[in-house]
Amino acid sequence: MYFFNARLRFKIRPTATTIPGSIIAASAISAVDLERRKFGDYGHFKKKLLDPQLYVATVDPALDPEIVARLAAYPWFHGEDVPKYKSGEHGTRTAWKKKHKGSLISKWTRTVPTTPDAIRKAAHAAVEFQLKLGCDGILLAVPLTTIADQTLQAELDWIEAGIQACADLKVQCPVYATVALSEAVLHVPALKNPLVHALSNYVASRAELAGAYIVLEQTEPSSYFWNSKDPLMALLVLVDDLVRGAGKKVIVNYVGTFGLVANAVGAEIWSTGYYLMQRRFSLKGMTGIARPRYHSLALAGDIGVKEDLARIRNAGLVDKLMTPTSADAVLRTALARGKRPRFCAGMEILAKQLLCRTRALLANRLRDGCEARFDVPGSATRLGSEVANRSREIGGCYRAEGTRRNCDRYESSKSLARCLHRLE
Amino acid sequence: MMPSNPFSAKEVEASFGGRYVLGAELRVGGQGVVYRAKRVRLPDSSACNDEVALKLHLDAKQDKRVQREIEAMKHLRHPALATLLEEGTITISGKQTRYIAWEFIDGEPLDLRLSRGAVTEQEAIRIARDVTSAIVALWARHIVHRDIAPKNIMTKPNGSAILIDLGGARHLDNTSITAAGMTFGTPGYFSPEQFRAERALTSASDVFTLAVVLLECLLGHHPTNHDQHQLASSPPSANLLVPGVGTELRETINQMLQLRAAFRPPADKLHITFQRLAK
Repeated sequence: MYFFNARLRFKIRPTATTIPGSIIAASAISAVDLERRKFGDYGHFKKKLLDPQLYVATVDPALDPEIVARLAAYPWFHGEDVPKYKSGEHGTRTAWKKKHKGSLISKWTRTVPTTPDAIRKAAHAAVEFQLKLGCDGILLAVPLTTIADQTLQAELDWIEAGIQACADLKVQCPVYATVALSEAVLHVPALKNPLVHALSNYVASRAELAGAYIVLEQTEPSSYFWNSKDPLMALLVLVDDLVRGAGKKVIVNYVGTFGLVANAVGAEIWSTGYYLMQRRFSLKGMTGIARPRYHSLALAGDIGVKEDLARIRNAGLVDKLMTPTSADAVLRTALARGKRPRFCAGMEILAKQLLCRTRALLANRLRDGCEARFDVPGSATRLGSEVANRSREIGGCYRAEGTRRNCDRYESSKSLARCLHRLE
Repeated sequence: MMPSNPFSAKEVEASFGGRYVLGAELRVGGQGVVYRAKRVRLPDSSACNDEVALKLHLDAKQDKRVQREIEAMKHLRHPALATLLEEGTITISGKQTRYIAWEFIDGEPLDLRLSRGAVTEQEAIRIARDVTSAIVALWARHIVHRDIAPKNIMTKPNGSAILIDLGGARHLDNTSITAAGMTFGTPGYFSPEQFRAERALTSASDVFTLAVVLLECLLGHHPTNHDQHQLASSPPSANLLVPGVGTELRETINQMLQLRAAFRPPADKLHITFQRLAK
């Protein structure tokens, strides 16, 4: 099931099929705005989850002051000290945010609470906030795993505090432990990475947990995609351990359209969006320029339009990797004539550094006119059946491989990862 | 050289002020000595008449582990776990010594039983049923036993089993007292994750270890001759080793021996399975 990574603006263009739900990232919208939103007006909020994003706690305010100001106002960070917004007293929410932005940023310690009492309070606040918001599941606040320390003491302390908070607050909906892993701890063969198994083992062993919400942090944000195999494999191993092994549910986020592969392996929900901050997560830069991508059904993934399309043409892989649609006819003709994509009509602008506003306008234009070409929910829904078929096909590969040894089970995703690697 | 008991029975009885009447010496090891004893008075001097296994901990280096065992068992009452009756410190011949009085289990350690050969399929199932219920009770308190081995399972004449010795048990809320890269337990019974010295163990580790014990029960000898590397890399198959036992039991043991911990059945479901299989 696809979920949309919601941003400050909830409104999205109508899609051919309904997006069943959304994940709201705490960094995308401030608490003061979120608490006042009406979700019923938007179809893609029929089901909603709030990601408390404790794993972002170490982000540098110098890099992303806006994001830090939003996060810091949540009660599981430093929001307890923030004066409550009252319209009569503070005027508009924008004025309130502007007034408190400086003090919120100054309170940002780039650490997570470590004492048992502070952890208990923060974990409780995160669960309580999600309940008040009417979330359809609880995502427990858990810090980012950045060191391959097998005690996982901090992570387990937070998970346990979250489980306790859910019991105290009599939570009825499914509870997911956040498993936020830095790429730095995943550069070993996934099946031999004890950290991966320790985490899945722990989530599997806690009956109170419906499953895990898995987030991977990209340590090198210059890449739009994950371009190394091991972290992606680690994701698949985690999903496989939890779904096939322990019968749990898994939600994956911030791996772009690789979430579709995780979905095929068994993840219940995969989530992404149009913009960079909706597609991948990196502490070295939460936001950045989001270039639209060519969405390839053959790859179940995206292809960079700046250079990779030309590489594909030069490698003679156009027929294999590109999905002919009426929308990309111009692009394919241009490629066939030996032109680089940046000289294609409507593409030239992509090669330039764009201002935020221009980027937003461009994104809208692209969604209007070139849906099939780009990995936006519009394209995924227009071509929904083909995507679903591809998903089933990949899932079939896994099931067919199921009788082989564990290592072999990942061959199909390995080839996919290799393919992505080459393209990137 | 066999470790010897540094104290005489009279010295020990005198140190307790006559509250305990010592019987046979049940075990002597590097870490301590265990007596069968009768407790005739409680610490508050009120009369009682309990059969106990009185363990004197001789290795002061193990004090933290002893304390952890005490903390784990102090308030835990379960039919498949030995009950802690009393604990404290006494001075014997000028030496401060930790002691724990456990309920006396009128039975036989499983290792001694297995020295006479394999047990029947039903006996093995009953042992599995009781030990899984102990694992469930411990895991409900976030405790992993970490040393499930025949020497730590007492079998009673009625066929029931009791898990003893939580000296290596780890409560998840506690920091590790095992040095980094080291592991606790009995070689030949480590789960793969325990063998890799992982710290964040769960009940799945005890489940794996119990499967090794079960195979040993059915075979009458250790399934890999205590080859820990083999256990951690390619665990034995019940289908090959004990083809004569029931299909469901073999399949259950094979699931318990999965290398990936998340693929092992949870202890509570196993307990239900073994309860059903026990006749």
